Amino acid sequence: MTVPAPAQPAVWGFCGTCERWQLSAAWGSPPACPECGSLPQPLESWADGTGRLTLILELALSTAGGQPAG
Amino acid sequence: MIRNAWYVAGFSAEFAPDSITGQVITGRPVVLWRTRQGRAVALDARCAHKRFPLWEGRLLAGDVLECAYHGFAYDPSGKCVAIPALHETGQHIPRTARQRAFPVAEQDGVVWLWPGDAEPASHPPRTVEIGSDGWDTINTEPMEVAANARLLIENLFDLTHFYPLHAGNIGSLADARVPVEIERGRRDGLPYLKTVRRRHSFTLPPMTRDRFGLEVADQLQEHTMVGPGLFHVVVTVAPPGRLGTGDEQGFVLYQSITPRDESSHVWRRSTSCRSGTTWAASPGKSLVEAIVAGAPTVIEQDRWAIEQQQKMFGYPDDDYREVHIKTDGAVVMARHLLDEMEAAEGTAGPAQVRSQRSRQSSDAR
Ligand code: FES
Ligand SMILES: [Fe+2]
Ligand SMILES: [Zn+2]
Repeated sequence: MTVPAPAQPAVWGFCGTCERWQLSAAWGSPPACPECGSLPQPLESWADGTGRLTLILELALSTAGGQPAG
Repeated sequence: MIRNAWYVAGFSAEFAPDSITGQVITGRPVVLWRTRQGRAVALDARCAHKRFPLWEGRLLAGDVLECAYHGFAYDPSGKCVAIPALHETGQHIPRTARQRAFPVAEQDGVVWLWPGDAEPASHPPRTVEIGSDGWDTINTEPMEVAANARLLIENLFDLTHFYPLHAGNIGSLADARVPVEIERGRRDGLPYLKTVRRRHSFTLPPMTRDRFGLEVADQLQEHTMVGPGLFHVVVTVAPPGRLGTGDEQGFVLYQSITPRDESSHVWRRSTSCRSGTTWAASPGKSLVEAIVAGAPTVIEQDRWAIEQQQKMFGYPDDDYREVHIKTDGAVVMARHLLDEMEAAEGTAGPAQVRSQRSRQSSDAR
């Protein structure tokens, strides 16, 4: 017997395959992009009326030509 | 444009006794003055008689503002109390000769105005440092920016423009690599959006080293949008492992964003440090002076950038779409939050600053 999942609020996630941010309640578990099925990264977590996510910036330093000295 | 919100009309010192100021806030012309008792008041600036701007008028005894055209005079509640042309005929002042009064609140060194049609749902946000003796504060002059107010909000949430826009001063690629925590929720009935960046045992750049007298430090940076009109920034620095102790230093920065219309706004900044804190490299100077001294170049770069963006709004989009990268997360979320606030009052600003379908990998290139 399946227990209905609690109503999921819409949360933000970034799909690297679709190359966009989406606000959705349909990421599912395990999370997958509702459009293409890829794993969103990052995906917001929602608790007590507060949404949180952490972005790790991945800049390709080596490819940035002419970067400033300072 | 969101009207049902508190916006900064100015720092308290901008409203001298017996002086009148005219402003346009969210498209609404407003005349502000201080009564003899020191209360700041605001009326619709279009005289009820023939639309003449009341900010061209003068204050008479009894806190009455006289229009410079035909002399209709209004009390602080907006009621017309004198019409020179009626004096001889003994006619009554029409009851309809009344100016709309806007809610004004002065708190913590800031004069706030609510330009919206709904009743204020809350008090304005607190800015305790600005009005407190415990802090040294430097306020900027109001800066006119020829860009939609949302472009400044986006700039303040934009984590990746330090390089190249601010390269050579606050900008470096290493800065842009610090992980960012994004938090959203509601506080005191208002939605907020916040970014937090923590750095541990990092080598301070020369400018910051001079200010705080530290080579290596932990740093906490919090940026919070408190409604559409106020950004609250807290930067705290301490020797490694000493954040949250008496060894902390840092500053608090309030940035207010007051829309004039859909293509311009007024930007104010107020920076505070605990009073008595001095500049490590030059102990005769207060820390807040050192921090503010470094700001003008960065401010001009940001202003330049958003004014350039605004100019491009003049061209039709056709098949143009923006590309949204992962690090645009806070900007995308801010747009959505502001869209919801606009939708709640049945308005919508220019499409270029609202949530929009971005360019996607499925699009033909
Ligand atoms: S790189 Fe961001 S606008 Fe061009
Ligand atoms: Fe900037
Ligand atoms: Zn996808």
